[in-house]
Amino acid sequence: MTMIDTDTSGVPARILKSPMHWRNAKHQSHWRSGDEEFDAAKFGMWLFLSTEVLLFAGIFCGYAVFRMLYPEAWANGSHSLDWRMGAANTAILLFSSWTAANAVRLCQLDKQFWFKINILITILCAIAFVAIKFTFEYGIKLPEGKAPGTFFSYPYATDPHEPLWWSLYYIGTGIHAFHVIIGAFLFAFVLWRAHRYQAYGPTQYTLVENSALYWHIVDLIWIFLFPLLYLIH
Amino acid sequence: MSQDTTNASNNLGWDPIDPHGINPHDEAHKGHFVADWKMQISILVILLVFTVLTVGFYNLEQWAETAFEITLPKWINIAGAMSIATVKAILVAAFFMQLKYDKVLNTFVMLFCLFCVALFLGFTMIDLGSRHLVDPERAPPIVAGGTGVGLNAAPVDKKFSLILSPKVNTGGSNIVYYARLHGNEEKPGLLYYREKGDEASFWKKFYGAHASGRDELDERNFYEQLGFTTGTSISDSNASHPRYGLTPGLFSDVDPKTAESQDDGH
Amino acid sequence: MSTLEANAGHHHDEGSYFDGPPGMMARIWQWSTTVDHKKIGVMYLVAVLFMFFLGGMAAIGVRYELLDPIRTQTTEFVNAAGDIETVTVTTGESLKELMGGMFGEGVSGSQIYNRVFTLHGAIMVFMFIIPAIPAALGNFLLPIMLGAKDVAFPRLNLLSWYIYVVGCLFGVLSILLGGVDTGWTFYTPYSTTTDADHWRVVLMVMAAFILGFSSILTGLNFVVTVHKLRAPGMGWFDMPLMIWALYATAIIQVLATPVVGITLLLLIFERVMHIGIFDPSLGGDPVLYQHFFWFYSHPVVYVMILPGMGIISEVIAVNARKHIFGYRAIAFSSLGIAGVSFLVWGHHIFTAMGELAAILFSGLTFLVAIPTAIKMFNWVATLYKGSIVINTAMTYGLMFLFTFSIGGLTGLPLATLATDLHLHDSYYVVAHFHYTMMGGTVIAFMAGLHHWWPKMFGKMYSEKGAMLGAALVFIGFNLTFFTQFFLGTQGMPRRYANYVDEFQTLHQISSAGSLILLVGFLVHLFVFVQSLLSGDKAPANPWGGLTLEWETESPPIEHNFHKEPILKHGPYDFETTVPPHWDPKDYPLPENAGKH
Repeated sequence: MTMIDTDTSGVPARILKSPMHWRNAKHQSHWRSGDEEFDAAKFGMWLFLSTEVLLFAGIFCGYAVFRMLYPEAWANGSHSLDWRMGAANTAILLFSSWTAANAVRLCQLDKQFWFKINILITILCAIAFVAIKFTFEYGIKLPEGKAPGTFFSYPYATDPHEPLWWSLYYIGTGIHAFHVIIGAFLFAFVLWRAHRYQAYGPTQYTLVENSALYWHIVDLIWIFLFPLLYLIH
Repeated sequence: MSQDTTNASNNLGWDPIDPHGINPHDEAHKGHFVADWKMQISILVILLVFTVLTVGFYNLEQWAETAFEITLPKWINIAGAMSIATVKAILVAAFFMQLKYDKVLNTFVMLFCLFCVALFLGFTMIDLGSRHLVDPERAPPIVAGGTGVGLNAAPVDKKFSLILSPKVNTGGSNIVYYARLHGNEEKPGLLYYREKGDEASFWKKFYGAHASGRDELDERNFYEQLGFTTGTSISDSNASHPRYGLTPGLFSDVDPKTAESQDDGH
Repeated sequence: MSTLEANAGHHHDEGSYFDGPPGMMARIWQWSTTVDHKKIGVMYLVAVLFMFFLGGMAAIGVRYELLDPIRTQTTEFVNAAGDIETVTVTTGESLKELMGGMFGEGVSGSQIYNRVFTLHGAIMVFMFIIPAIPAALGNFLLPIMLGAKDVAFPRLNLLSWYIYVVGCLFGVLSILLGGVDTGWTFYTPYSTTTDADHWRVVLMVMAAFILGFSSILTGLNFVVTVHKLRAPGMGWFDMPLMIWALYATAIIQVLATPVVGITLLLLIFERVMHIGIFDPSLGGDPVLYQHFFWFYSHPVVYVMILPGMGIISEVIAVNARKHIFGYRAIAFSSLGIAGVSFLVWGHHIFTAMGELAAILFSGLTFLVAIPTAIKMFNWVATLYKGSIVINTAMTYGLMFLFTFSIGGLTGLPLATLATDLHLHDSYYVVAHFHYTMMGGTVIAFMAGLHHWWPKMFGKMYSEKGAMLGAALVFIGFNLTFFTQFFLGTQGMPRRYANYVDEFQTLHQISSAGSLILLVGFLVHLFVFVQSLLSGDKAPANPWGGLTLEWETESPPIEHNFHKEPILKHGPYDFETTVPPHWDPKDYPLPENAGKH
């Protein structure tokens, strides 16, 4: 059972009276109750997450097919990646997943300050992830000529299909990084509304929950991309 | 409607027992699940431990290979990494995404989606992996992919061009082969070193980086000069991975030599 | 007793969903920001019909070009100065003569033809037939049939309409820049190399990509709506079969469309950056593209046909005045088709794939025939001993049974590996899929449009005029496409502007049929416009239907129902229930009605 702190003394009246404040939020008129609306939104989010998984299925399918056809190019390719960067990014994403889950919990308990702190940490983790990706991975690989398709100009490659590996590497991690950025913007929106209106609380946290779900699926996909790209050879 | 009555009768503005105001008398309504922080943090620790485990396993394998030349079979590497990833994924889905405490419908959606992914991967791989199984004689030795034959003409460049890729004209050779000759600004290719009269340092880097055998561009046999003596094969970059089954006949002007060498591949 | 009667006193409280503020700009603003599923459905209908018109004109262009083969003759003659001069005359490039200027200098007749049939395919598939029934009719009907006030996520619904419009704009822009000649499937390597200097292809691929988003959002919305917003008392097996069909459709939309998203994204990367995944010269495989593409596009064939089947279930049951035969069989066969649809995409690639996979896919493809035939038999069994009313919707319903049977049965030879090698990429395939898509989906769409037109717009239409249109469509459609079965078996390949002289008669019959088809649709357009301008006011339940949409007014009020409806009878209990607000005096039944 939810234990809710009902003390509103510290909250300015401007925020408490705002229609955006979570205590004042009403469900849309075509729903019978806010609970049903919440369930429906969550179900819709899960359907959307399944479309995300199927989107990445294309990348995984390309990976699997070409790995089957050109195993040595794939082995060489995965040796060219720095597993330390991959592992660091994995840890960052796992940690941010935890803070996202924490944010949902704190929001349910109406602990506004710590809720916002957790969202903020999640956003910072997203920035760290993308920064590592762009500076220590793309930023080092691309000037060396380890690039996709016809961009490829790395002189020390041996297998004729290595450009294909790099194509899949950049597209897979690139689309994933794009999702990380979208997730960060989503959380930034949540943070702004939470800060401005206290828009989320025990009875109104649909967007927090769904953003967190989105963030977890981004994490899930990375959990598979990491060993596939960095560890399997 | 029930929302309104709840609001009116409760000076808090909402009902702590029934925060969504669905029906205060509904016994089935138990409120939303709030995760336990101890559980969440232990899941995080387990996930991080598994990450260390999978990375450790990878490094152990590398070390065994370089120090003792023990090469484990490939499937151990794949099975190890992927099963750890699957366990991690299940943990995230069950506890962070709260599937364990949520409606079964949401789990079902995800499982059905994964089933579709499996179909997609499975059938596509059945096709691309089995083209020579039923009738190996169906076509003459099929051209391996990656010959670069299509790269002998750069795309036309005009005002509206959206073609971002470099206008590579490899003259019909493989792109990796082309890159080895030309390289780039940071990593110059073989031609640069030849011009400088310092071919040895190129091959030193090249053989030091990867190759297990002598490369065909290594005309003066730096492979042996530099002391890389295990194996003497000259690899043909166009035919190192002959495959049956890539789509035939797209580019007719294939070097017949390349096509012949398919036979002894697999 | 119906909901409406119980609330007769409240009629003045809420006007129809058409009512709006006075003033043109205010109305436009109201419609463009509406989250009402009915308005969004109508906006979809308008957009979709416009796209149908564009695609139809491209089709007429295709048939116009094929009236006569392209022939080049060179003659030598001695001119006045005594020199020998050669003159080359090309005949039969009809499209080039008609509209060559639109495509710029130096574009041959065959190239223009390629662009026109690509436009026809791309517009009809991505912009008309996929959204036609689910997004236009489905948006309007799904919540009302469920007894809900709106779809689950109304704002998302409006967003998906805007995304659809943006996608269409991308497509139209690509056409205005000169069109695309890749075929609607964008097969590599052609789509990655053709028009290498131009971005039209990228625009068209982007259009399909964006339209995919719209499709996903609509599907997602519908799945959640069906799960969460059914009226009290409405269990899964009390839902009208139209809802079952839309539900199965929505599942496919959600699960298949993201794959085409990544496919088209990879195609764009391939085209502008040469990443090599589909390019054999870098080690990629063009057939992989076809796998990717058909993993989406085959299930999407059922996105096109399943809602049509839902419409037919409604129309036949209502107008046979009989409980639908085999309700559960039809409902489960909808889900069955959705399930099987993910297993059969390989039959588009039989000639390119390995034998093992081809044999598997061939066997699985035959499975599709089972749920489809179950539906067919059930509809025919519903007609048996029914009190059949022949109105326009029912005429189209019966037409569907005829044309779709032909379309379905001619698919079986294509699923057989040996015959497919002969028929592959011939006019036989063209005829087959037009019999399923046009003879199935478009005919069903017309049936649904006539069935629900009074409900959507509150106006009756001229039954005589509509029947005339239906007759012309039937004759024109069969003339156009039945001839193509003969052309295909005789060896006429698809996507060619030119052909040997022996095929000319059949091609001309086909072209003549397409003109009759055009006239038929123009008659329908005229009838609909006349209905909007001066049609009689429609009663709440003109056909005597039992599903929930007939319980509210025509057109429905803003919130669909005055009070949340509570289901008291099944959707097809014609034997035991008097339909709500139904006055048989206005639209009388045959004498044997109700006597089974």
